[in-house]
Amino acid sequence: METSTAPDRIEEEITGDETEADRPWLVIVWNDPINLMSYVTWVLQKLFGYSLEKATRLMLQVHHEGRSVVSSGAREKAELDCFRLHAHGLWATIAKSN
Amino acid sequence: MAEFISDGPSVKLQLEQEEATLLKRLLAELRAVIQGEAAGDPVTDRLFPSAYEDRDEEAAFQDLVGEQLRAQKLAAIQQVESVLVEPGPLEVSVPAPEIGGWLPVLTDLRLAIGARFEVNEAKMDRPIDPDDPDAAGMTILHWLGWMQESLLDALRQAEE
Repeated sequence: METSTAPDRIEEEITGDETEADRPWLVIVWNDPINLMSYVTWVLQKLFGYSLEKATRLMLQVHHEGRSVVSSGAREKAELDCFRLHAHGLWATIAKSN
Repeated sequence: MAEFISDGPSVKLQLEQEEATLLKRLLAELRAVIQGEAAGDPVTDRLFPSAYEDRDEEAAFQDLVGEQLRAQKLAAIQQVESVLVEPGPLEVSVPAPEIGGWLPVLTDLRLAIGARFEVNEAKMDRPIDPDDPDAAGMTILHWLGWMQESLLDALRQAEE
């Protein structure tokens, strides 16, 4: 299991006066009826180095609200994160924040 | 019944002969789906979801990583199969990081069944009706879920 810790990027404030180019790309995980809650939590910990508490919180947001932003940043990073989530069977998409 | 048991830095897998046979058959079917990759097929669509809403951005993303994703899923299947060479019943110890590679494969098997049988949350939560034509598929779906929970438990213990 990877042990690196990723910064809490998604908790950064996104202010309204940023330019188009400044706005980060968001990686969104969507709820699906098949994936186990315990597995989704494990994937978020493994891929992003999140604590059990943070991974559980994001997983529960997916479960209850239907979606959750699990990472964000430059486009290349968002695409890599999305690829890794797809490789683990999670339903993930990329969108520009607004 | 299939079970993963934490065993020091390894995880011990116990599998009945019928379970090993079934798992191998499911893996072969999954490989065929991934290699066939029929666009518009609900199983393919779920295993290879779109990342972007925009069609051009999605096409560029697929050009970049589509082939790699397919190759990675096929390699993961092969890794699981390499443990299942004996006819079973099986009792093998696999190093924890290596057996962790089983989780995405078990997931893809479950996603494929879920997409094939159009499983939603209500259907997932209902007890299996033996008269339902999907009963066999649902039983396999829950069996794979049981294996996945068992493996996750064993990996968590291996880390402690």
